[in-house]
Amino acid sequence: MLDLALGLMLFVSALLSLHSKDTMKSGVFFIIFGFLSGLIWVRLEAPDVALVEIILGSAITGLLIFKLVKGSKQKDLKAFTFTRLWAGFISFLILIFMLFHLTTIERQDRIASLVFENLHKSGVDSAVNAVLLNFRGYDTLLEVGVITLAIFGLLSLGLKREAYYWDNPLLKGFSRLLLPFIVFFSLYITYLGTFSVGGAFQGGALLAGGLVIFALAGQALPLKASIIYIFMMAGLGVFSLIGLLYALLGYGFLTYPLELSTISIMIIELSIWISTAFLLYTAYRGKL
Amino acid sequence: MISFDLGYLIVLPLLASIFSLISPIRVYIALAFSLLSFLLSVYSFLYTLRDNTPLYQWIGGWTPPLGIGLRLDGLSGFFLLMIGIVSLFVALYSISFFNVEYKRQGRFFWFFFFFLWAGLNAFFLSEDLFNLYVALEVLSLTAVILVALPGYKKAIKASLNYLFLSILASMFYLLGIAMLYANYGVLSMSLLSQKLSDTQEFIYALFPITIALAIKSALLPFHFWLPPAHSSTVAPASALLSSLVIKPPAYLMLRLWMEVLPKDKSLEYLSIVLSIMGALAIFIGSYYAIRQKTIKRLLAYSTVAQMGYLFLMAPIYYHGGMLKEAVFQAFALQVFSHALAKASMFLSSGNAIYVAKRDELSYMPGFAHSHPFTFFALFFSGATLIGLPLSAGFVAKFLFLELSIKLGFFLHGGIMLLGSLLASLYVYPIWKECFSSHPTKFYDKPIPQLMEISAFLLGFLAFSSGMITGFLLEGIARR
Amino acid sequence: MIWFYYILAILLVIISLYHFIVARNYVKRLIALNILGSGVFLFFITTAKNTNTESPDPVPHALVLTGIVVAVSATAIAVSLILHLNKEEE
Repeated sequence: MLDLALGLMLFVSALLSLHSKDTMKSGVFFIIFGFLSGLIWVRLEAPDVALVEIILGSAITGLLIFKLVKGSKQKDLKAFTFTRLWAGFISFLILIFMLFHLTTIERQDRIASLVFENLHKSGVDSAVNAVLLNFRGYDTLLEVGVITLAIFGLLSLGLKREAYYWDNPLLKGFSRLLLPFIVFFSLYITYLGTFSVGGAFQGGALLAGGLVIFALAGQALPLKASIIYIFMMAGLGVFSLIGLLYALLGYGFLTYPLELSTISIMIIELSIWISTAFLLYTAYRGKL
Repeated sequence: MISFDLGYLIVLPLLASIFSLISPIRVYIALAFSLLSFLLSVYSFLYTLRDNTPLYQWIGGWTPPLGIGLRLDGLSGFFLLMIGIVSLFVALYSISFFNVEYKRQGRFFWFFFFFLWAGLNAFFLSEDLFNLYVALEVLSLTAVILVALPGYKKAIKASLNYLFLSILASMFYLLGIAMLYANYGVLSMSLLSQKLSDTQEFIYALFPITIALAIKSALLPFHFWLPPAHSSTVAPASALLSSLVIKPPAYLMLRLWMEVLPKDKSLEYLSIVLSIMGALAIFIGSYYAIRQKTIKRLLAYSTVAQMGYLFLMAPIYYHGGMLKEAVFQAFALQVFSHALAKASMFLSSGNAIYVAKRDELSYMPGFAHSHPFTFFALFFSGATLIGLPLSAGFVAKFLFLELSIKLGFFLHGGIMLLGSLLASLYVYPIWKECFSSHPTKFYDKPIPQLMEISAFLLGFLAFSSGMITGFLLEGIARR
Repeated sequence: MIWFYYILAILLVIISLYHFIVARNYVKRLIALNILGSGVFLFFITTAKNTNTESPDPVPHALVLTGIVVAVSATAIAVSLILHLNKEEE
């Protein structure tokens, strides 16, 4: 019943976000959509994904889209009837296709049991983080690469626009008070990742949220640009150096020996935590 | 003794990108790491010549389906060599290019350059479908940023359109993987090929994956993003995009068709559709290339046409299961010759624009007299694009022709020859302008030597490698 | 319940695809792409639940985490490019 209600609400918010003529309204409904999908991940027993979705997919993306809506004046023109017919036809075709595909899906084990069997050899107790940082750690290396790349990409465009801020003394004081707590709480979430729900991306995204609130109040971090630069690079740099180190030592690329796996994963998690936070913070600010 | 590890091929460029951004001696770092990565590529290529069995490496010691596998076989080794050659020469060119022009962009260029290299190496080595998605994403985001690099309106607009289509394609690809995973529960290509035999469910997943790959490699109905994106950025970036970034999706399609997917009637229909689209891409791409007045747009449309060949041959991928090595050889050589030739042409177009500050064809008269190296680069690479005898393009087309005759696809062979003819029609105007002996104004501003020589050497290699194809393709033939 | 989520995922993909093609506005297109991504992620997560093991399959969860981070990166680039374009047009 709860599933049904949540699902319907999700669908309606998606429809409203896509249908509304006003881009501001679209943005608001998109944030609601992100939040609801976070709740659905919880219902589907994916709390890790929910954490990332609510902070990253809903809050950070929402803020980025708001920034965009404020800075863009483009009108949403009505498409030609021909385009709409064509789009409708394509979408309908894919709908039929995917509905047919649904009939072929069977309940099966896939990789799940294999992951649980090998969990004790991975160095962490949380299955998702074992996959993320050990079994499929190479994917994560490239993923850290993607996010680093994206943020330096937007820095290279050299956009000089003042970040939007809200001049409110209450928010200022509140964000200052909150920041130390968020730093510790996000570190705690990162640490939790080794045995339970949580992890580097979750913690990093949370810290980024705290930093963005700090910036929303119109304050700059008391850090030098070069230090922020290094923090941003840390994830990719440390991760690839550790991969290289194990290759040079003869274990093989990103292959941690069992006794060193926990400590290696801890170091990698910490570096991803700090760099995710500062990368997303920079993504919001649009400059160093 | 340090043992060889496929991870080096990915980690070294990644580290190079970091160092090149934070260190003040950017150019030296770039040069050193380019050479190092190039040597690694050559080493892996020579490894495939020496060893008959493909080299598999399970990252983290986890075998699929749990972990991710890297695979170095003849085909991927050959492509690593291609990436190494093109990237090295583009790096040499860029050292000089960003010294004289676009100095602000030069600060960031190396970061993206090495990221692109890492992404390409990762893509051609990977054999895990989800890992390929992440590598593809590295490639497309780098490409988008490289398009936007000059920072003027035309470039930003082109890069934005490219980005949107690219995200759409990535999402479709991910959807296809999700569907495959729901049915078969594995992501590794080698395991998938075992699980797929005698099943039909994969057809549903193939649909979004094919659309995604078609968008990413600019097959006909989705080609419109390519010409603006490839023509509006700086010359070294154009060269990388047009010669390297566009190839991986087509390579993935070849892998899927030849090694993963089983025989199925609906695949045969799909191959016919793809080959029609490829044929149309050849004709329409060439038609627009002939009509262009600016050299960069001409080259960009020519890329659309040349990518058409790879899809035109889709029925051969389907029917050529017995002749797998021959199909791989023809495909690899076609990609190789186009990559080298197109990179050389874009670099030469950069030279021409450097001299005249305009990119219309009519602004490069008398180049054969004033800048012989640039002219010869254009000559050799143009000859390879057309497929004149002795060039690598010629051998590639010859191999394809042989295959199409063997398998009874005469029409496809004919269309390919017609495509060659059309290619000569759009390459000819470039040569004609170079030879014009009574230019109204003589453009003889000297070009930095490194820029001229690297463009020339790439073109020369593209042409002359036709004579050593036996050596180059040996690794693929002996699998 | 699994089938309800599968159908929801497909519907999200379909409507956002339709709106992506139809929209003439960059902001709307960006939102459509993000919703399309959420549909795909929902498909993955539902598949994770569709097993015989006691707790859901962690592999799709890890893949979706990667996917979300990649999607946010792409969105960040898109936002910055659109803002840049608007500034050029002013």
